[in-house]
Amino acid sequence: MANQDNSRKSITIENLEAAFAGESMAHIKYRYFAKLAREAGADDVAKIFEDTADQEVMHAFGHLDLLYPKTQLTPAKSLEIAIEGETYEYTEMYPKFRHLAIEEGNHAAVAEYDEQIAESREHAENFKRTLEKAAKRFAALAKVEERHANHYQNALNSLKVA
Amino acid sequence: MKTYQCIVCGLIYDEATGWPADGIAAGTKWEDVPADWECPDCGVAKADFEMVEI
Repeated sequence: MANQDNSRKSITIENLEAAFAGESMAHIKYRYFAKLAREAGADDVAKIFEDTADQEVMHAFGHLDLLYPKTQLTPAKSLEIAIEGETYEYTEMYPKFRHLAIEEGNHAAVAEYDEQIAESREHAENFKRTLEKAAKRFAALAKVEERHANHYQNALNSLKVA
Repeated sequence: MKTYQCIVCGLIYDEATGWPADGIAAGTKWEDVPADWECPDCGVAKADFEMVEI
């Protein structure tokens, strides 16, 4: 994010980043709720979520406007920021998440042996399936984000050649 | 004919219908889908799809 090079980040910059993350999450969450509402036949509810989600985007844009001022942002700079973000996701974030999901899965398996109650066993098995799926998903996403990073890098290279 | 599900977003590839939008004809077996084909919704590659029981 902005001012990343400063060792001590301004509290307001941190708050802007938190507000950006919050609005972004709300946007996606409402889009997801709208999708489920539409599937359930509640079109009016879906519409409410979609309209609100659209507004959250504009709120998030407002925060970005301060975090990444337009005057400092060239297309090349944008690509560099995007490459940095995607590279972090595929080299650090998703590999780490995957590792931890597998590790947690192993612990869950151990815990399962200690549980004698059928209900707990079922919960443990469901949870293990979630962990296995999460591990596979993180692995798949790491590859997608790597392609995104490469795609951005190619675009940046073209800009520099042009 | 089998179906395959994207591990990330849940999109279903059905061999019976193929994916005509990407030039994959109806009836195309999963093994005949190009290796570089990606999930049209989320970009996950063919290698990351899972077979779904039907």
